[in-house]
Amino acid sequence: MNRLSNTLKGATALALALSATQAMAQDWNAELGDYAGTTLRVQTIQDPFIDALKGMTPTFTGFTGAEVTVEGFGYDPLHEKQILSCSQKDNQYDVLFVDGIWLGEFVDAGCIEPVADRVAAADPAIMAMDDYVPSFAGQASWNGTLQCLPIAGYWHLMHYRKDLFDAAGLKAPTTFAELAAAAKYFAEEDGDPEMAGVAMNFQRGSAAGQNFFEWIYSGGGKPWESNFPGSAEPYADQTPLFNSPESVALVQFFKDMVPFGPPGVESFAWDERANAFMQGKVAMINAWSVQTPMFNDPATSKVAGKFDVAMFPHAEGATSVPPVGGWVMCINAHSEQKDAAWDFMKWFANPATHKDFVLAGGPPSRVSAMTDADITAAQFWVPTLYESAKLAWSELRPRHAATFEMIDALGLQVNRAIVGEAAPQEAMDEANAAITEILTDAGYLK
Amino acid sequence: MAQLAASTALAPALRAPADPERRAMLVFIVPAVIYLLLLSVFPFIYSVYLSLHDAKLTQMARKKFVGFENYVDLLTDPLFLKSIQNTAVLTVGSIALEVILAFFCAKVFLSLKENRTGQVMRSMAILPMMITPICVGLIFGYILNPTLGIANYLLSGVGIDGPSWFGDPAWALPTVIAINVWQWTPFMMLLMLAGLVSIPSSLYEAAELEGAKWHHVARWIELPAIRDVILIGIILRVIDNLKLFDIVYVTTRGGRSDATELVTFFTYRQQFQFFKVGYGSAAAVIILLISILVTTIAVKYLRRMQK
Amino acid sequence: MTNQNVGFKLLAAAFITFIFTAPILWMVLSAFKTINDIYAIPPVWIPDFTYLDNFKLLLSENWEFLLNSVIVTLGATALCMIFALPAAFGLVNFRFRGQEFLADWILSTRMMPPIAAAVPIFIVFNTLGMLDTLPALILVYAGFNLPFAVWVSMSFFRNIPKEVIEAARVEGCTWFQTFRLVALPLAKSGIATVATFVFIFAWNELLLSLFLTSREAKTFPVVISSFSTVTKTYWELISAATIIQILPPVIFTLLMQRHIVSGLTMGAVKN
Repeated sequence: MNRLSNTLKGATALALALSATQAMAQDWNAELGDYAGTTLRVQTIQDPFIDALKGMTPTFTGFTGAEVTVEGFGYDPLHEKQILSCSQKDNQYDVLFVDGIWLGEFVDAGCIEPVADRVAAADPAIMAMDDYVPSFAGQASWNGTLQCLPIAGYWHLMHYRKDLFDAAGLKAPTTFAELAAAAKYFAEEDGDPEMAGVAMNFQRGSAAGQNFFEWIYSGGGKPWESNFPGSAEPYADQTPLFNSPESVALVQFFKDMVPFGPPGVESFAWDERANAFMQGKVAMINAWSVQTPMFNDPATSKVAGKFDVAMFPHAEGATSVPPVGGWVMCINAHSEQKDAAWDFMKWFANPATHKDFVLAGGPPSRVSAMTDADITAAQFWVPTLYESAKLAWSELRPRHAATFEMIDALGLQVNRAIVGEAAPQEAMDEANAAITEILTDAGYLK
Repeated sequence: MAQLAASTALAPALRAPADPERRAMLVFIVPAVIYLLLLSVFPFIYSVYLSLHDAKLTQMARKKFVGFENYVDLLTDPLFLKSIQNTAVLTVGSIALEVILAFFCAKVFLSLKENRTGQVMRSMAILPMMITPICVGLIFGYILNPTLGIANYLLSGVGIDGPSWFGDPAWALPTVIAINVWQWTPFMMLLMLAGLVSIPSSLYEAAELEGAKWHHVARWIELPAIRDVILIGIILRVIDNLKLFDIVYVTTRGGRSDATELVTFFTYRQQFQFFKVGYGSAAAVIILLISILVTTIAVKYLRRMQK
Repeated sequence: MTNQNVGFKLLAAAFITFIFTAPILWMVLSAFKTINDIYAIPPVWIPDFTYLDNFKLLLSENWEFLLNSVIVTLGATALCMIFALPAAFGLVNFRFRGQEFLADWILSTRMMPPIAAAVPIFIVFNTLGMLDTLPALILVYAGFNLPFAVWVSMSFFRNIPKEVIEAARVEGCTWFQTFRLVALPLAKSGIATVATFVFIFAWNELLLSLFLTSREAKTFPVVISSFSTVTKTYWELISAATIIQILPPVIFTLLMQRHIVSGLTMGAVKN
């Protein structure tokens, strides 16, 4: 799979996938069961791709007769609902979209029926498992078993105002130093007092905690001992390193970026940063690729057509490890319509359907989609996304049952350092101590 | 426990169902009492039981008895202590502001009580207090949004850089207090109006004749008249603030750690975000003990007033 | 009072009224704006009120949850009154040991923070297989409002002269007949007030519905809370939903303002 990284082979894969789907296009009626009269329920995040997902379902109804309802929830409520429903063996939803970082918790609690056997039994041409981008596909597995299908992958892109960078004769930043210089320029030297340089996720709590994980690898550090890009066993030694020199330097870097942010940036999270960028108030933001179509939509964004994307930057002497995340599609372990659920997933995840999904605004998760001519023509950011996806590390954030608590505790201390309530070293010492306790209580640290 | 004593009080009724008087009591009162016992005593006992265990809601079968460990951990958990502090600041700050602002609002509307326009405006001004709390939170989430909110736009018009109201740890709690005050000042105002209208106008006239200043009037005529209603208002608001949840749930979206962490929210997060129901139940029991304390005082005053 | 003085007072009143109504009004206006206008800075002050797409989109996907809210609220109000009225009548008219104490205890349960009972209630309904059902929500909402309904109804029954009740008893009415034929009709308007309060409390509730429902019984406030997500906040849907959600409480406040004070103080303060 990694060998598919050059464009030529990507194109070959695309051609293969296309011919395979064309051959199958009329076969869906035979491939899928008849579920007339049943209703399949999909529980998902209320992210911008939900409309694309809803728009696709009538096609499935056409093939199988099954009605499909898609219901969106906010991030925390979705996690809460899914875990609570699972603990009561609830069968209302058949297909669950689960954040890749929740997977360990869901598997431990017995909420998911692993898809490994069904994948093995299915036609490899339909499943096209090798076609998934590996850096996100890794998040669909837990305990070495494929649990779900990695269908909605997000990667971080550095979004920057091409028009302003061109006018200033600047290039997109590739290193932290270049990022800082460009941020300083737009914040202080470009003559526009309304324009800020850069906005990161600094908000106290999970936003700042996530931000740390997003930047630490590109900053040359790692969150715990055995978790680094390419690690064979990321969870073997979870001794936390949140107060390592690299971690502290990273937090200092965050703090240094505050003066170059929009007013109040110390408390911005995803939504605030996206609004600031779309209102033309900040020159650069790193953001999940799922938001990129929204930035380029003239209905909500003033900067549509004015920005470009670049690879996530890295510290001097380190390499870029763009953050990866997103949603995997799972069978509810307590569903009573698992076969229908599986047929829906099989159909929805298929390369041809996936292409339609991406063209309708869904996030691409397959190599064939990322290299598809129609898609790259419609979505200019996809080639950079593909390059980013190749360098990403699937285990970037913890994915076990203590993830929520850990990120929350970290996010408190990172923010304290950013707003100056504590020196970076002091704050990160406290973060390390708090996380050590959480991991010890949960049994992940001896 | 108060609840146990309540069932004792019913015992005579339950013992002698043959007497028609007592049978009527049984039929009229007992169903409601049983309903409330199930809804208050049972959860309390169950919470106490859970609080002595290390339990995860997702793996209830694996819970283990840990004695008072959860309580010891709670009382040394900086976040829990911060949540108690925040709740205290919220309660005291909101109520103090509500009382002061409500007094001035009440005075204004009192002086217009014969004026038709004044009456209409008073009806409008009391709208906030019954509005769905989650909507109140969202209304202000929209207005105070750092990029698309109208508040910071208007502030920038007069040359002020508005803060990030909910996100900045220094502003978050004051902002929640302000919203709370916005919603509940009208309630306090209505209470005070109810007290103020009972003052005979002859008293005001006498005060004027003797050349009393406005603060004399407030101190010697108005305050005594509304002291009791203010007390009731304060007690009820303390209880409300111990329960406050919805506004924080939608404005800070449950993720902003300690800045607006209230005891209800701390408990909610332990129980439904981290699913640590043992630890969360210990927090719930502590909240209950605090509210029983406040409630005992409250009930005494309410009964005295109702008579 | 001089005219000038009244003018000044009216100005102050107008300012106060503006502070307490403008935020609501601003949200109401936004419900009629396109997404672009909602995000516009400087703001669009007056929208085109014929633009109803936000409402259409909202209701086309969520009308069944709005219906849930209506059913739960009406059901809880009815159930609550069925338990509360006889109890209130009994507590006022019967004489027994511990009577005052019992009334106080009922009132004290009103003060209990719902979050403290959340997990046990969740576990019970889970065991009974009743999670995410309308009856479960109705039972809980009725129960949480029962203390309020009992206590305030008591103040209305207390207003019925003792002689009237005694006369009915002397005429040979049973307690039940006295309750139904004498007390209820006499306390009619008070009962209506109590029921309306219970309706509004249940209508506004979020916390219990958040974790007792997932889909079938989801109420409208839970739907509204789901429009605010990490990557995007759907302000166009939130503003439309807010109008629908606050309509009953607003109408209630305008029509029932005379009773609000006595209602919210458990009958301790009369307007």
